[in-house]
Amino acid sequence: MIPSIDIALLSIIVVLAIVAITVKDLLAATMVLGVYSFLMAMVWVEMHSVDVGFTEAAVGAGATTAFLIAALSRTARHEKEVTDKKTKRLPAVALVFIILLGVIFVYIAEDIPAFGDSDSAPNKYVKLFSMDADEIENDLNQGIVPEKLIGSVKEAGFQAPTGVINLRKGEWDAFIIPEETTQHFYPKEQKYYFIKKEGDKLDVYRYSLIVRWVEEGKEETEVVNMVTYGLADYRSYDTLGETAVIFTAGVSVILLLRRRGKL
Amino acid sequence: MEWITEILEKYNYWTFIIIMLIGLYGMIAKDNLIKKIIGLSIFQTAIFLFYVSLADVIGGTEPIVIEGYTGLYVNPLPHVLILTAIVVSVATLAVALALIIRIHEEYGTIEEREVLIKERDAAS
Amino acid sequence: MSKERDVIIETVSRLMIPFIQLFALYVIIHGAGGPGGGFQGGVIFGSSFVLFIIAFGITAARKKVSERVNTALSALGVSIYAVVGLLCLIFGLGAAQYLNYGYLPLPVHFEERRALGMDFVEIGIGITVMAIVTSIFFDLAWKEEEDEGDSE
Repeated sequence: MIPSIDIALLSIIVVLAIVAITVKDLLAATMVLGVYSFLMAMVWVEMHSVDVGFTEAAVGAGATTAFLIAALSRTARHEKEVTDKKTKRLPAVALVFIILLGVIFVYIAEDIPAFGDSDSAPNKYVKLFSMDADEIENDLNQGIVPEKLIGSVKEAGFQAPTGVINLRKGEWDAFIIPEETTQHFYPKEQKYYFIKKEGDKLDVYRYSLIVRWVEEGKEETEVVNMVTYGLADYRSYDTLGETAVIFTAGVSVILLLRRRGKL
Repeated sequence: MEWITEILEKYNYWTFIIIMLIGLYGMIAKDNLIKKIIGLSIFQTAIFLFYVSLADVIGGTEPIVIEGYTGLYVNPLPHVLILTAIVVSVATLAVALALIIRIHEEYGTIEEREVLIKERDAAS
Repeated sequence: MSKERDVIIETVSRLMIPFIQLFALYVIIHGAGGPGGGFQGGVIFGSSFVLFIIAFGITAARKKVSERVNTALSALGVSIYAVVGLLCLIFGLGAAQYLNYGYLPLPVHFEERRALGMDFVEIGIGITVMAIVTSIFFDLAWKEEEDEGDSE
C-alpha cells in the first residue's frame, strides 16, 4: 500500500463516478463506468488483493461493459430531459437524503480501524476484558490454566481454554483442544485467546478466525493461494450457492428475452 | 492537530462514503433505468472498496503462501467475500438489463416516469 | 452488428481468440498457485465468444456456438460442483461431509485430495460462468429483425 498512489487513483475514481452519473449520453456513461472499474481493479491490486483485482478487471471492466453496450443497442442511447414537476424535484430530495446518510457515516467513523492497522478486529483480535495479574502470572508461565482465567472467560460467554503457551515475556496464547478427535478433523490445539500484560493488569483478547485461516490453511489443503482455498474449500457451500446464482441469472435472462419459438 | 491525522489515516473510508453516496444519488435521482443500474454498480464497488480496505495491512503481502516467509499477509477473508459479491453483482446486472430490455419492448421507453404514465393510461 | 464485414477486425479477432482462450484455461488451472480461478477464467473464456459475436455478427456466431450445447454446458458446470460434493458424501461414509474433498476416492493422501477437489470444482465453476456469460450476451444483443432471413 502506497498512500500517494492510492489517493491519486481514488480521486480520479471519485471524479469518474460523478461523470458516469451526470453525463446524458448513456454510451459515454457506460465507457466511463468501464474506466472506473479498471481503475478500481488497479486500486485493489495495489492494496495486495490480487484475486479481487483480477476479477474486477475481467468482470467489472469486461463483462459489465459488454452487457451494458449490448443492452443499449436494443434500447435508447440518450437520457431524456425531465419535464414534469414531480421528477424534477427528485434530485433535491436525493441530495438531502444522501447528505443525511453521509453525516451518519461520518459520525460512526471513529469506530472504523485506521487503514492498514494489522491489530484491528478483522485482521487479528478483539479485546474481551482485562483482569488482575497478581497471582495468575506464575501459573501462566508454567503452562497451567488458572481457575480465575477460566472463570472470567466463561463469565464473558466464551469457551474455556485448556492450555497456555508463553510466547515471550508478558504475552501468552491460550488454546483449546477440540473434543472431536476423528482422524481428519485436525485435533491439534487451536489458539483462541491472546493474553498480554499491561502494567499490573492482564488484557485478554480473542483471536479472529483469520489467524487460523492464514496459519494453517496451507498445511490443511496443500494449496498456496489463501483466497482459493477459502473460496473453494472453507467456504465451498457458499461458492456452490454462488454458482447456482449465476446459473439462475442466466436462466432468468433466457426466460425474459429468448422468445423466438425455438431453442 | 489530532483530527488531521484522523482524517488522513482513514482516507479510504472517506472515499468509500463519497462513492457510495454518489451511487445512491444516481439510483434515487435519475429517471433513466440504465442510469439507475450504473448507480447500483457504483454503489456496489464502493462496498467492495470498504471491505478490501479493511483487509489491507501495512507491510503485508499478497495472500499467497511463500515458504519460509515470516512476515505479515493481508487478510484473505474479505477478498473471498468480495470475489463472491463481484460475480453476484454481474449476475444481478444481467437480469436487470434483461428486464429493462423487456420494459423497452413493452412500453417503448426506459424512463421510469413515462413507463408509469403509460401504465396509468392503460389502466384507465 | 451490421452486415458489412471489416477485414481488419475479423483478422485480428481470428488471431486473438485462441490466445484469449488459452489464457482463460491457464487462469482456471492455476487458480491454486496464483491469482485466478474458475470465475476469472470463465469470464475470460466467455469474453472470447463475446469478441467473436462482435466481430463476426450474431448470426454467424450462432452457427459456431450452438445454443443447445451452451445451455447444457451451463447446467453441466453446476452439476460437476454438486456431484463432487455428493461423491464426498458417499465415500466419506459415516462422516457425512458434503463438499469435504478429503473423502474423494483418489489414490493420494487426504490434504492432496482437497487440493485436487478444489481443481475439479474450479473447472465446474469455469464451465458454468463461460456458458452463462456467452448466453447472456447472445440474449442481450439479439434483435428481432436479425431473426429474419436466418435459415436454421
